[in-house]
Amino acid sequence: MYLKLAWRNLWRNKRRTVITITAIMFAVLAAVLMQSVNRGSYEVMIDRMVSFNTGYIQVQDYRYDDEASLDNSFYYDEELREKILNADGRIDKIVPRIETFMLAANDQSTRGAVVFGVDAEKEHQFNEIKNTLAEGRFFDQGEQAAVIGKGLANRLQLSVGDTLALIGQGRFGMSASGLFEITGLIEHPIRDMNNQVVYLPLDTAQWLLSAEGYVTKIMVNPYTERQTNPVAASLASTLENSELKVYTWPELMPEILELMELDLAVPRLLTVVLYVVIGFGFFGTILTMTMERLREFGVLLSIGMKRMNLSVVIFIETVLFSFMGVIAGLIAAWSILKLIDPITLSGDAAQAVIDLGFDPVIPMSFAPDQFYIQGFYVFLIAMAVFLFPLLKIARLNILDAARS
Amino acid sequence: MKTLLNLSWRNIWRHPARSSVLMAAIIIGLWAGVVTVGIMNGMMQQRVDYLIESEVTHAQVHHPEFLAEGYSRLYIPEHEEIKEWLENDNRVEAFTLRTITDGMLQSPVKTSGVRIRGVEIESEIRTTTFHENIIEGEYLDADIPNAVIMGKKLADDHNMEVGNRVVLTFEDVNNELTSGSFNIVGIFQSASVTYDERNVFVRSEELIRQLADKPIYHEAAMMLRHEDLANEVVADLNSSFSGIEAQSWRELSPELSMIVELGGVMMIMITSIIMIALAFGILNTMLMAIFERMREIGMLISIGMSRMRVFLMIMLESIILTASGVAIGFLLAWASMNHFKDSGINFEMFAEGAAQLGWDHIIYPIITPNEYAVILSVVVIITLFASMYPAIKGIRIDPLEAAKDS
Repeated sequence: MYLKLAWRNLWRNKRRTVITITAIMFAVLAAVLMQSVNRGSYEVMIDRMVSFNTGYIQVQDYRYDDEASLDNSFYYDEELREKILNADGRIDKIVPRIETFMLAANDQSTRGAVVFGVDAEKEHQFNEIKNTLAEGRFFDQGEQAAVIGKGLANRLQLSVGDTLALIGQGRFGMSASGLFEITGLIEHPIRDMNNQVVYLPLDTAQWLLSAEGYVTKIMVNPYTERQTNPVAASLASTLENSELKVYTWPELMPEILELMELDLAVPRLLTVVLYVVIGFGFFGTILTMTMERLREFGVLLSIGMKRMNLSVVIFIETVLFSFMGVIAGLIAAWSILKLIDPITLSGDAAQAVIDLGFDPVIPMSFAPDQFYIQGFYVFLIAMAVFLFPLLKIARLNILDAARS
Repeated sequence: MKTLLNLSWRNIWRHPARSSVLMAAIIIGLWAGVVTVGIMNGMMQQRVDYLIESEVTHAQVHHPEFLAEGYSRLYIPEHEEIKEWLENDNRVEAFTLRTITDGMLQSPVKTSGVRIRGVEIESEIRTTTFHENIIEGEYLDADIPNAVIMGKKLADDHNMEVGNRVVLTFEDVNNELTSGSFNIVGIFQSASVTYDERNVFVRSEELIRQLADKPIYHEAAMMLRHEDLANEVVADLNSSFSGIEAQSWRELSPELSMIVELGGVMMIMITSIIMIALAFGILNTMLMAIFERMREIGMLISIGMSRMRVFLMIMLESIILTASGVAIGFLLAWASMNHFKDSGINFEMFAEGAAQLGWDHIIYPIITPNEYAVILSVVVIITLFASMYPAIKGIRIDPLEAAKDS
């Protein structure tokens, strides 16, 4: 009954309803756009850190976090792989790595280098590392070969085909040194890494570091990012009685996330400013609408409708069009984001971003939570503001209203 | 015309509630625009100032290849002459010479690649504010031989604390590897985790002793009387000396130029989003107001008021409302800017407990007269544009239908 009345009221004056719904629609659109613009760049940054550095979930020896040394590496074989893979059905990729710091040298000078022993195929499936190749090719397993960052190659004046010397310490203080043919140069997307990264085939690196069969970390990726926590939990229970510990990506880079949090504080402040603007827009719309309908309310009350009943009808109307407005706004926001993403930069701004090793675009975020959270907030603002007519009904003087 | 003005004026006061809501929307819009631009400007300026004052400085001089290669043999030739030039140029407020080399830091835990920065304490403190970033222990003026300070992130990675020792290994000017053991006297935390992870500081005289048999410097960093002088001073340095390259802060720090350039783009985008929200708020209120008055407008047209005059009447109303809204909004925005300019806006509550790193959690908004003017015209254009549509709607009314309505 109430619902029917409210529904009919909505369509009795289509124009009014359409205006109100568009008001809400544009508010949702603005709110989502604002979030998307602010978060897009951070997501790209996190995505890059996760795929090239930490992975969504990482398995390490429990001592490694405290002391990131080869001594705290662990034995990784087919059996452990099976065990991890069977821990949870949502596991997509398992990528082993051995990682250490060594000296990289040409015939006259030396540089510090971060050495990654990787399975090139698995690594590529994980972060498409082969697409960052600037020259040459990636190695196969077992080859006495290295792929190094372009920055490092420039500093050591080495190019594809030259020999790279690596000197350092292996597991338990064994001395480690070897000569490797450079088969490729990569343009590593993390600028700092580009100047110091050396990739070796996993088994070659294990042999060099006297750590046959050992790795320092295993990256585990679930099919989607959202499954990170549940997969990490089931992995943790599978590995409970071993010396291995499971980490999720926020635990692996707390400092960076903390800084981002601080960076996002100002946009949040500005979002509040946006909400104030939205609230006033609604208020203007609803105030004029209520005044337009005062006479109608007065008539209804004078022919005997209870104030309570009228309020319920108006309330249902409010919920109905707020809901429609929010849905329309979400659809509009999603399509507009799709349309403009990513915004290409030009001129000085583009150059500044390229210098930092990023693509010259402002990426948009499509994180689902921003859609429903912003939709919900605008819905709340709408409901709060649109309750104004209810107040008016409660205090309406029937005679005055019917006369106006 | 006078009658029209009179009519519009009375119309505004006939519905004080509606008129004040419209005005409020304009006031809020103007205020929001000014506050947004002010906050973003303030934030960018504070970050730029922080980076310049703590480390980058307004301009630096290097060997042309030093920044890319990082070898200690690429030092500044004839640094005495440059020093003298800087001392005698009255645009230079303070400067310092730094000895820098890339190397490795070894602890019992592991080895990391770092940039080792040798600083001259006295002139460094006069030039930069980096010493304020120390969060544990002391700055390099501690009375301990071979002192080193390192970033918190690096110290954590190596399980090092104040009082521990680390070994620094690097190449001297002849490409010979040399190493020395250094005592950690302090831990710093700057605004960048990567910076904290990759840089350690020692005293330049102790670093020079291991690098060469004469004083060598790789970087001359200077603060100028005003940041706008940077390009001028850089050009003068480059033309007066050969074998060196002077660069201004914009060229030196990609982070800085990104903050400035990207910040500008982001500011335009965010301001436009807020303006769009504002425009639709005003448009909707105007539309509602017109629909409410359909009957009245129909009546006016049917008793013989020309459509043109109706249009003018509605526009005049909007103009009066906009003008008063803009005046009040401007005053409000100006007053709040003036207030926050000194006291700052604390946005700690939006940072969800993030540690206070580098830059403050209080923003001092900045806005130029030029930006005021732009925001003002944007708001005025939006409002007039938004009122145009309902006015056109208004004159298209079929008087018979409208008079019949409601």
